[in-house]
Amino acid sequence: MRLQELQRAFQARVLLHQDGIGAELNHEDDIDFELRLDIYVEGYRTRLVEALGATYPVLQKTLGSEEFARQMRNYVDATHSKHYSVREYGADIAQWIKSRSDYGQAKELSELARWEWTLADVFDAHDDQSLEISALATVPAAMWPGLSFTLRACVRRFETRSNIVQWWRAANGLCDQPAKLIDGETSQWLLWRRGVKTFFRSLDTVEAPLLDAARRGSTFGELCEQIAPDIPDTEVALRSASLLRGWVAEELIADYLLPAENR
Amino acid sequence: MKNLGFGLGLRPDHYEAILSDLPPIGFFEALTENYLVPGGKPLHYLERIRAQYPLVLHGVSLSIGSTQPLNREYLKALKALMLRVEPHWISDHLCWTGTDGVNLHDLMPVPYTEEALNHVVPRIQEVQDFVGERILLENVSSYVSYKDSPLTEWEFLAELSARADCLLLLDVNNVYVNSVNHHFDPDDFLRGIPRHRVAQIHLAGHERQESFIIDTHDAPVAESVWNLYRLAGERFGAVSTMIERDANIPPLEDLLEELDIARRMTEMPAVA
Repeated sequence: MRLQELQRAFQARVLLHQDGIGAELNHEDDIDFELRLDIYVEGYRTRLVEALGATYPVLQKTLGSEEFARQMRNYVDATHSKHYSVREYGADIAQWIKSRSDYGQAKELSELARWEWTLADVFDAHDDQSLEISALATVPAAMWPGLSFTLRACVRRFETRSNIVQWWRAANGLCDQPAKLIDGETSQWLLWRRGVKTFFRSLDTVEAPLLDAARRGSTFGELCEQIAPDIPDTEVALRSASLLRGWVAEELIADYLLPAENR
Repeated sequence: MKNLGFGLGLRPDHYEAILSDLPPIGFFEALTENYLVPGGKPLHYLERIRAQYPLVLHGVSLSIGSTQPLNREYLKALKALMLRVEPHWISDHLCWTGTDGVNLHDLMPVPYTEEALNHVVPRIQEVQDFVGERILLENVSSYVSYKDSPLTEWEFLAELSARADCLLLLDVNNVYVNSVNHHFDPDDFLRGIPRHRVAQIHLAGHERQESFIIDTHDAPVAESVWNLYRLAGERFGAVSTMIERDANIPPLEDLLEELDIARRMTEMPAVA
C-alpha cells in the first residue's frame, strides 16, 4: 500500500473505526494488537474531549464529567479537527448543543458554551495599546462631533436571555449558585482584557447600543444623537462624554480618528 | 548546536514560580502551538521568560510525514513566533498528524521505507529553507508497526537526517518505549544514530502495561530510561537535555530535583 493510502486507512480507523489498516500492520502481538490500535483510536477522542473540557470548564461542571465526556465524544465523532492548534477545536459547540433536540436545557447550555468560547477568545486576543485619556484632551472642541473610535481587539459583546453569566460566576465561586439555568430577560454584556486579565460587566440599555455604534464607526456626534431620545437634551453631550471617558479608563478604546481621517 | 545544559518543558503551571524564583535551569522548551495565538497571557509569559532564559520551540503540528501539502499558514505562524522570541532552535516530530485536511492531534508513525524517505526528505528541506535554519526532528513512540517497513527506525532516522541535513531530537524515553513495544535492543538504536546529528535529548515518564508501554509523559523518568540515558551520554556526549512532563504536572521543585539526576548522571564516570 502506498504512503497516502496507508495514512488514509490509518486515519479511517481512528476517525471511523474502519478496518483497512489492520492488514498493513504487524500482528506479532496478536494478544494485544487491538489494544495497541485502540491507543490511537481512543487517544484521539480522549485528547479532543480534554481540550474541550479546558475550553468549556463550567459546561463540563454543569453536565458532570461523565455526561460531558459522553456528549463531547458524540461531537468529536461528528466534527473533525481541521486546525493545527487544538485550541481552535470546538468553536461551534454552542451551535451543536442548540441543535440537539434530545437535550434538556439545550438553549441555556448552548448560551453557556457561547459565553465560555467568548471568554477564551478574549483571553488570547491580539495585544494592542489602549488610548490614554490625555490623548483625547488634545482634540480641538470643533472636531469632537466628527470624532470616531477604534475598539481594542479584545473587546467582545455578548447578549443572552439566560442566567448563564450568574451561573458561570457561581461555578467559579464568585456568587451564590442559582437554583437552575433559566431562560429569562435579555441582558447585555461586555468582555475585554486589561493586560492579561479578562474582565466582563453588564451593560444597560443606553450603553449597549452606544458601544455597538462606536464599534461600527459612528462619530461622537452620532453617538450623542443616538442617546438623545432617552435623556434630557442638556445632558446628552455630558452623558456621551462620560461614557466615553469610562470606556477609555477601562481600556476599551485603542485609538480615535479625526474627522479628516474618517472621510 | 550549542549545548544549553539541562532544561525543562515550559508549562503554564510554573510561569509564576519561574519568574519569581528564577531557578537555575539551562533552558526552557515551549510547546509551539500554545503560543501561536494573537496575544494575551501565553505570549506575555513566554516573552518574560525568554528575557531570562534560553528558549527552544517544540511543535506537534508540522506533520512532516503527512502526504498532504505542508500547511503554509502554520509555517508562517511558526516563523512569526520565531522572529518574536528568537528560539535557539525549533523542533517537531518524525510523524504525520493527519491527512485530507484532518488533524488527529497525535504523532502517527511513518513506515520506514524508501518511499517515505523520498517523501519526507524534500519536505524537511522545504521547511528548513522557509525558516532559514536546520530543524530538529524527534523519534516518536509507537504501538504498532507496518508490515512494509524494511528499515529499522534508527536506520531511517540516520538516513533521513543525512539526506535532509537536519538534526535529531533524541527522546530516550521513546527509544525505550519502542524497544519494548517492537522488540529491539535500545543499544542498537543508540549505536545506529550518528553522533553529530543529535542536538537535544528528551527524558520523560511512561506507563507500563502487561506487554507494552504507553508513552504518557505523566510520571517521573523510569529507571530503565535513566539507564538508557547514561548510555546515550556515553555515545553522544554533552547534549542539551530536558525533562518533558505533559500531565500530572508536579511543583517546579520536583522537576528540578529530577533534572539534577540527569545533571549528576552526566558527571559520573561511565559504568564498565
